[in-house]
Amino acid sequence: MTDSLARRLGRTEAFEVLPEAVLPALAAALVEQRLPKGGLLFKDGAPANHDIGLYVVLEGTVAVRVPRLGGGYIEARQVDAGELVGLLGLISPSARRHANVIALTDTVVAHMPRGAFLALYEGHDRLSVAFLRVVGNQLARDLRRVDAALQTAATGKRPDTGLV
Amino acid sequence: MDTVDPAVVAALARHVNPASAAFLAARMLSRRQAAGEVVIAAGGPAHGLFLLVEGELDVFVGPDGGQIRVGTIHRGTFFGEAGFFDRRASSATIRAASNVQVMELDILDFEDMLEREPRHAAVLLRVLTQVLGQRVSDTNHHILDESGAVPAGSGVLGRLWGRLFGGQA
Repeated sequence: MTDSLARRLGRTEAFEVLPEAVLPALAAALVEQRLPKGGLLFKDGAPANHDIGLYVVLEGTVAVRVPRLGGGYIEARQVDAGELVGLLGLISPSARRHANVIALTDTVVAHMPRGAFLALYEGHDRLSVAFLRVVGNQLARDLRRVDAALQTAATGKRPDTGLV
Repeated sequence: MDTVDPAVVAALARHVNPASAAFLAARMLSRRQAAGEVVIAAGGPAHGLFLLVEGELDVFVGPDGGQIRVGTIHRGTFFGEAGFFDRRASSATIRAASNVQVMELDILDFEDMLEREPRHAAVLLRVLTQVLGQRVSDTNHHILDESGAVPAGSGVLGRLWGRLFGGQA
């Protein structure tokens, strides 16, 4: 099962940059989870705990719904197979979930608890660097989406480029 | 032996362990600029990571290099980390609000560090992902209206930019 998960991880956008040899160890740290269409992966405001971490979407699509002014939620983005969701739970131990994440289709994800991440990367600097670059790139992408909205509000024009 | 500015090491040590602070300080280039000078121009290529050691910076957006001041960057703050990761150009202009000292880590020097000193590179990347993560977290809350945009005149814009850059609008 772990070998199969390792191969699937190697085909994802998030982990294709990692050396093939490390994928079995990575897969062993992950827990596969299935969600039916409409299922809630995690909820806005959920507190940090020992299980907090990130998810790799292996099959299907989930929606990230963030709180909007005046109440309710708005869909900020969709996350497809191969992408990461819940990054903040991995890198910030005190983080609360800041969005509802809901399966738009029958979905398979792999959960990486923060503790497993830290154990896996302890002493493996090159692996850590490769993965942190993946995380940083996705966070930069997320931040630029917000920046575009802010600049639109500030100038009335949607910018062509992203944040500094 | 490299001589490094103790103030730079101290600024870095707020973010990373002492050994990595000393290592990074020796590899960052110091730049002093006068009030009013541009540190990062909107649309310019991303070529480094920056740390403000002394002074304050203003952040401007808008046409022609930015005419609307949307935030302030305070001493001790990293900036430019999004471009450091994804190599995309800046959409904001960063201008010195006072005489400033800025440290820059060139992307090419960082790539060399990845090969030669991955331990220190990993330490820096952990900090930068946390900085980015905090900014995403701060700005993800309550910023979107029905259309997915920040409502103009809602009063949230300045506060959010302040959070983005660790300062105040």
